[in-house]
Amino acid sequence: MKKALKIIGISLACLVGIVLLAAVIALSTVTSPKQLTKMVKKHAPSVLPFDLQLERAKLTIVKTFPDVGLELDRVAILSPMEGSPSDTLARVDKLILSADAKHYLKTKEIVVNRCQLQDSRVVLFTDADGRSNLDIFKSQEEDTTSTPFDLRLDLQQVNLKNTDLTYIDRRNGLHGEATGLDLDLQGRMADDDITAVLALKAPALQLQTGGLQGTARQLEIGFDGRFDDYNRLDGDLTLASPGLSLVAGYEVLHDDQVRLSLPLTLALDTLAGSLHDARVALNEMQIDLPRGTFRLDDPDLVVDAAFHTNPLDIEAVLALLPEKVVQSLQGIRFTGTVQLTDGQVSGIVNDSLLPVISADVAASDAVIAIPQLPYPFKETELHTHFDLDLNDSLNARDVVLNTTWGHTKLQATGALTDLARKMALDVALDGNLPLADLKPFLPKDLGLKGKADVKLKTQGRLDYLMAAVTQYRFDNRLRADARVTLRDFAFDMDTLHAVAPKLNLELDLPAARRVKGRSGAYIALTGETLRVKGGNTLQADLRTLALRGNADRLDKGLEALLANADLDLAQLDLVYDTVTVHANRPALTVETRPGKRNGLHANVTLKTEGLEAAAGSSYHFDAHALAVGGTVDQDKGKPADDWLHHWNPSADFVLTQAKIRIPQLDKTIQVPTIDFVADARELGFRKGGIKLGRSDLMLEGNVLGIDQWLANNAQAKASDGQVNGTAPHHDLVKAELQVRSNYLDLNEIMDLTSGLGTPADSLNNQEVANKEDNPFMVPKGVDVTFNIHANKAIYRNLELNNLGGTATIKDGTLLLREIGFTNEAAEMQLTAIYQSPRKNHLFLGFDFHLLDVQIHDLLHIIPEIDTIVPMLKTFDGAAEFHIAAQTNLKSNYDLKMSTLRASADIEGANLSVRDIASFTKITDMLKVSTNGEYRIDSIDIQMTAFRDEVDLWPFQVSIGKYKATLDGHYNLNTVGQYHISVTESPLPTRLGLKISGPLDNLSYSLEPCKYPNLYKPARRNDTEQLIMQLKQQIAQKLKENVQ
Amino acid sequence: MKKVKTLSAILLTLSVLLCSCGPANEKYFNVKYLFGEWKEGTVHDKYSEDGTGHTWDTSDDIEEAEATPFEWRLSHDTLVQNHELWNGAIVPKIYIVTTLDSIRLECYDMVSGIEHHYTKVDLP
Repeated sequence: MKKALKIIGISLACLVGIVLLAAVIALSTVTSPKQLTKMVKKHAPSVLPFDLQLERAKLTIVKTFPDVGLELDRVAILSPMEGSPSDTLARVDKLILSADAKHYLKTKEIVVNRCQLQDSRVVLFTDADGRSNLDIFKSQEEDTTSTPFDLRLDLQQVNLKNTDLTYIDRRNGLHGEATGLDLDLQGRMADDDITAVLALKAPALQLQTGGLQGTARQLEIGFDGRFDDYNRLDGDLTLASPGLSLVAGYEVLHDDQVRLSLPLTLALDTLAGSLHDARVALNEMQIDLPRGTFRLDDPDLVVDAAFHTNPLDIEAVLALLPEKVVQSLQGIRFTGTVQLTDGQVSGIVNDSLLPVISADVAASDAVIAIPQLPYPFKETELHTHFDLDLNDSLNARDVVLNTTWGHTKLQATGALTDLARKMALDVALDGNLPLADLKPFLPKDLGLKGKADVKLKTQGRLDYLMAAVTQYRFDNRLRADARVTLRDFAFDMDTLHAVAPKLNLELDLPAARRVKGRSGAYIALTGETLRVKGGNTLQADLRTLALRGNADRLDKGLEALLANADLDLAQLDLVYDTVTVHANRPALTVETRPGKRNGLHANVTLKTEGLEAAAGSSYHFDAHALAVGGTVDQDKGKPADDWLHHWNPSADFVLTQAKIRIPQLDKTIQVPTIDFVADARELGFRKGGIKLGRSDLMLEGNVLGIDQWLANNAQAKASDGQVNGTAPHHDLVKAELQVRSNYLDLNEIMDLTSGLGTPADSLNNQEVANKEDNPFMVPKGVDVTFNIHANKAIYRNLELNNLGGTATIKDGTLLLREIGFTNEAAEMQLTAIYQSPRKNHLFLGFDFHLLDVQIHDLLHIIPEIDTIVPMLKTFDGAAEFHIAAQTNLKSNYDLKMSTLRASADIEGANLSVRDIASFTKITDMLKVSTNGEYRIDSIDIQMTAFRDEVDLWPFQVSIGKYKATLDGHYNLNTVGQYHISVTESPLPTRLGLKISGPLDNLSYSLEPCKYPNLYKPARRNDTEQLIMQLKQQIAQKLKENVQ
Repeated sequence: MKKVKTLSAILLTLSVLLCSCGPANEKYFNVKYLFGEWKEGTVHDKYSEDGTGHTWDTSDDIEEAEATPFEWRLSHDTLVQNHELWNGAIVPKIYIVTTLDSIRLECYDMVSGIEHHYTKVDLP
């Protein structure tokens, strides 16, 4: 500015020089233009310090009336400079200077009062060292002090028409071009004061300096005011252009319409000024500046001004903002109108700085679109006060926002700070949110319905908030309190549905504000009822739901999850198909954290004070309490499909006071306590007890290798497409369990468990196995041993003491080994085997020994003996009984009679006869005299069963002096046939007796003696010898197994 | 004379009765005929040269692979099958052979007297 004023001053001084020259010529009474021209050319070099060229000079009165004018045609002022685009400073087609003739005649003083230039071309040049082609006027300015003319410059009017101006300042990097410039300056110069009215029109103007580049079309500049002491400017400055473009690093204006009305004062020495009631209009935008000050402190322009606007188009305003401010909005788009009132612009303007702008903002019908959100904020009414530091940040306070997001009405109050970078929020938000509006945030197959009353208070940065909402990444610097009431809530995902009439959700960030030491987000969900459905088979009703917990690091994958959750219910009702579960006050806790094996570690506990379960109307289970404590330890080194080793679950189950009812049992199974632990490799029964009727059982021990057994099954399933239960022997599930009982009522248990596991329709099925039969299939790949001990057991009427033995399940075989017990009647030992090679081909075998048993107890223990040896019930006394049998079974447990094999041995002595009538009938027919004593000295019976035939191998009975040999055959499907041979008798005859027919209606008839010499070794024939050998082998093999 | 006749009748009766307890006449059969599979209804018996054999009844949904093993020996007309149980106990069966040739095996159970009529399955 100083430079421009200086130029103006020098130019005026130059004019004074020209006027002086004209006056001299005029005073020399020049009359003709030719002579006048010669005079000017002659005297100009002595008067002017530069070369002045002109074509013609003449005096004029008409054009300057009433003043006298000097009219110079084609004037050129030469001022060559290196680097200048032209050696001509100014070239003027016509220059007219006017002076007051009367004033000259009176005072001999030439007063130049008017100057007109037409069709000029001016080149102002300053080189990099600051030397200007205007410097030629400096000496002239000095020389005028010694001129002999009394000359005064009192310009009242200066006119320029059609002037082309080029201004080059290489020192300051300024380049300007104006073409067709018209200037009309009217004023009065008195001493150092100028009163002026300026009107400047430039059809085209270009200006470039540094990073600033501007162009204007049809530029009009006006000034009406004073210029005192060549320093103080006071007036109204106007500027108007229909097309003003400005690039300052970015395109600030692009052919925009600009109108300025700037009533101002300006001091040139300090380059400070003020504005009042100014108006700046840019296109449709209008800014009123009621007051303001500015000061140019090179290179800074310091401004401080109040302003207000008309309603502005927001997009148009944003288009004027610096690029970095636009970028700071992070893609947020605004539309609508905004009006700024009570505004203030303060600060420095230069190449790198912009002022701070503050104002009250009222936006109406605005739309705000944030890229991270699926819906824009519409119908937005915003009232706030903002402070915009164009160099730094945008802050908004006293925000009152009413808007619509999706179908949600939101009201927000608060403050936004540092919007240019951090976008910090301090906002309270109320809204009524249809949950369907959240669908864009949710997985595609997840649906939400209902409404949410949301009250949210948040403090933090917008990016923190967006990260929390969209990525579940929580920054501790984000504080948020959300209180949400969900009404008519409905959740749908695949076949899973959940509904609740009302749920209350609390969300707090960071979680430590609610629970000390917790991180991430705190979530609390409460509700009176929640119903969950899974397909058509699963339904769960949760009552008085309370879920509280926190979660953090959700964005870093499941294995990094830090979470705590406590779920408490007053009641849980679960229906799955025909299974129902009812739990009172179940409580679930889950705690997760990164584990030591680069995976998730979770601790889980479940407690319920009462548990009931039922399957259909038949199966029922209830327990006083269930407690489960477990862990999950993810091992990412193991493949996910090997879920057991991938997750390594471990749990301790404690069930107390449970009752189990199943239709096959008339009695309730009572479980006082079961405590067992299970993990991927081991199932350990710490304490397990059940009561069934009058019987009790306690179970302790460990089962090992379940994981490998499951893996083998899975592998087998994958390879064969079916589970066949096979597994390599080295991968057997191994278990050794102690089964103890104080009291076992085997009668009750057998009655209760009769038919257990067998379909009801197959129990009456006498035909070959049905497909529906489901016999017990002994697992393969397991090696389980039950060490059984019962202090007392009741079987039929027998009291069995110290019942003990082992039951093993090993690789497809169930073996009851050496089950021994004692009672008053006998010492007993049982070994049994069960195999299930295929469903319709089962195998059962047993080996049973009764030592020192009373015959009537034997018949009582095994009534089936009476069927095979009906005459045995005739006797009583001590005996020893051994039996072994095997058979294959059909799937309904019917015998495969063709495979039945059995052998038995009964030995006794001094037996008494109980059925005296039958005994007497037999002895009478055989002419055996008992002398009234009904005793048998001894018996030694071997029996075998083969298919459906039972053979009673010949055995000898001693009755006093008589000996008889008996054999028999009994077909299980027909009748029996027995034979008695009298082999020793005082009588000479050796009679034989045949007893045959149905057992309840036997017929007796004499027949020849069949075994006269069987017990006479010397007389035996080969067949009798064979019989005796086989009898001995039968007995010997049976007894070999007695322990 | 009447006493003599009466005594003679008694002695004759006793002799008949006493003689009836004596052994029956024995026959001899070629054991090679026994080797192979025999069938009686749905019951199959198979005799191997090493003295082992096995039996199965297809009416019980049993095939040869699931047959029950036994040991056997034929001495004169006495065929002994010895069925050993899972625990070592034995169930012997004694059959008296009445016919044995390349296509027929006929015998009866020595204890029950039940007759069996087998036909050769794997005819040479």
